[in-house]
Amino acid sequence: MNKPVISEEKLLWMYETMVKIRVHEERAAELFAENKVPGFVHLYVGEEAVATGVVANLKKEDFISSTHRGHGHYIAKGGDIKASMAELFGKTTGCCKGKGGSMHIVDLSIGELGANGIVGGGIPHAVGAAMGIKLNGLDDVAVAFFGDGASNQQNFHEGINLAAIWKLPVVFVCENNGYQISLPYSKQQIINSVAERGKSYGIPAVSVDGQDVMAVYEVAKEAIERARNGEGPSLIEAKTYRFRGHFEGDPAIYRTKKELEWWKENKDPIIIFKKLLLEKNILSEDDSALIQKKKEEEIEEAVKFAESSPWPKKEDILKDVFSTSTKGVLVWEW
Amino acid sequence: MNEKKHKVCTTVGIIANPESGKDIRRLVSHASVFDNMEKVNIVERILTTLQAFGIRKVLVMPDTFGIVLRAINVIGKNLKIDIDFLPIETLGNWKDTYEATRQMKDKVSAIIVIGGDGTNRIVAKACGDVPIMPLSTGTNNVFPYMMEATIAAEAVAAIVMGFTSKEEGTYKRKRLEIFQEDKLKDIALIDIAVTMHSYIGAKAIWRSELLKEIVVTQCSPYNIGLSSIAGNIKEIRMDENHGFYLEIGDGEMIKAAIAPGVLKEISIKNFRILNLDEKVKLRNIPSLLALDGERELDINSDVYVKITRDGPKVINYQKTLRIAAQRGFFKN
Repeated sequence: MNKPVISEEKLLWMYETMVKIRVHEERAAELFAENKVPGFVHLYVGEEAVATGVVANLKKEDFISSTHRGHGHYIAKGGDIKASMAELFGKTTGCCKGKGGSMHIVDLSIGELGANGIVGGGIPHAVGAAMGIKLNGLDDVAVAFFGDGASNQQNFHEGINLAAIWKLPVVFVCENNGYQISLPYSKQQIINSVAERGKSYGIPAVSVDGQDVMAVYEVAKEAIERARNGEGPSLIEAKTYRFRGHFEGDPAIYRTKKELEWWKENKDPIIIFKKLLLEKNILSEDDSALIQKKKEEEIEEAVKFAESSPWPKKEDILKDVFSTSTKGVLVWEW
Repeated sequence: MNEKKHKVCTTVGIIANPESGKDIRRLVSHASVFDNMEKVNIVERILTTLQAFGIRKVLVMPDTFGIVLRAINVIGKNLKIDIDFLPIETLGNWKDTYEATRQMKDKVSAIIVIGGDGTNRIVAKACGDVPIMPLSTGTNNVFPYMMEATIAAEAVAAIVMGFTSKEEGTYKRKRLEIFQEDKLKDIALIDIAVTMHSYIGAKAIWRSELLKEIVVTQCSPYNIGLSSIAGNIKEIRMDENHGFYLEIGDGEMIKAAIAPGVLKEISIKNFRILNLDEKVKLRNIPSLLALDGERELDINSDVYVKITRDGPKVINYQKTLRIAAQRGFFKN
């Protein structure tokens, strides 16, 4: 055999990352049900292959912008789960000092520009970061994650258009999970694939099975290399599926139980990847069980950390909202 | 064609793949996206043409996008054809194509396939002796025709309505059969490539440095894709009863267009004609086999390949329409 295109070490990192995201999200669901997590949570269960396959091609200095369903992106990019869990709990040890919550997890030290409660809101952030990279003559890359619904928003059109005009080092990754909240994809776009939109902006676009982490990895690798080599932006549509509702508590009456069960049985990205690694003798059942246990322990530790962390003080409520003080904003005078 | 004379006509099948034309080759080559609205447009042209020549019933594979459904909506009340959708659960993968072909093969007189080499490979597994009219919408296609859908539909109508007989207007294509432990494991229509990729991933092949062996049923210097590597050494026509085997390694360098706009220099170690039914043992095991340009099979034990004449029956549209025209197909 020739030298493999991807190392065993990287493959195992990908598997561990996907398991970590799954365990994190399932635990977050429990915590939300126990009323320990304020606000909304939108979980990434079922979509783990997309964040993992893309981020596996990034370095620490590269940027990502995320969505309201952003825990998976943050974890894949190397985010500290103690800080994110504390953020979910609204505690001062959270990555936004407990003021952001699930939909605003940010960590600039790892290039995570932030989850975003605004649909498509992360797209201009990634484009801006890519512009900075280009102006500074760096070889970093920015990746914008967004959903199929976001691709109907002006943020998408303006962001992708500017990136194309300025040939910016950015990769647009649409996580098409088939539903814009409750609206099926077929009722929100006349086209079959968000990738078809790439042509309108004069950039390459590709559709990939978002449940197959190796396929995502390979497509992302090419798109990210293009961006890093100064060849401009690309659009990737990863066709995926969320195994939970749009948000925790969503009764999801817009899809059938049969459809959900089919995806879980046939297209679970972790099961698909595990099967491949077992076949290739890269992973054993024992290894897999150990990884699962290790990730459960890590998440449990993060939960304990979050639970034992202090709440923000009342007098700090207006701190850290703007990076500098802003004259004329009366709210600050309260 | 006299519509009044041919009120009752035999049924035509349509299989349109909504997934073709969007794979990784948009990133690694200069291929463009083949959008689905264009496929809808193709089906519109097919339906209106079939109708104009008196076809009254069409069986359709339902698909995740609704290519035919959208075409029906566009044509609206002017459509007089009775269109039935097969009762299959769409999964959005190759199984839809296989199941649709299996279900329609005993109910139709011809199948129009809208897709690439990969789509036709699946259809070929289940279509039996039913003639197919393959229309290209994928990338790197050798098997299907790059042609105007209106003319394709005319040829189908001429066959189905008997202006040109199936014996006159169709021909059996070759196919590649893959055997493992004497069992038929899979088939390909144009080429099998042995690659050193370690996983299936995004399926397409563009890294020529990972190629080790190629077996083709047909090849020419005027086609694109993996078969062009063989085709630039020797042309093998689809009607010739042999194929070609080549091994990549130290030897003569040739240039080949393995994807749109992607020319690679490849060193050919040896090559030879492969006769019909002659088995060739693949030399590089373990490896991964690409069937008609897509990584499909991980192989870890001995594999044999042979070329047979058991491929699908394909409509020769030029011959079909030439004969049909002589017999008054185009006269009112």
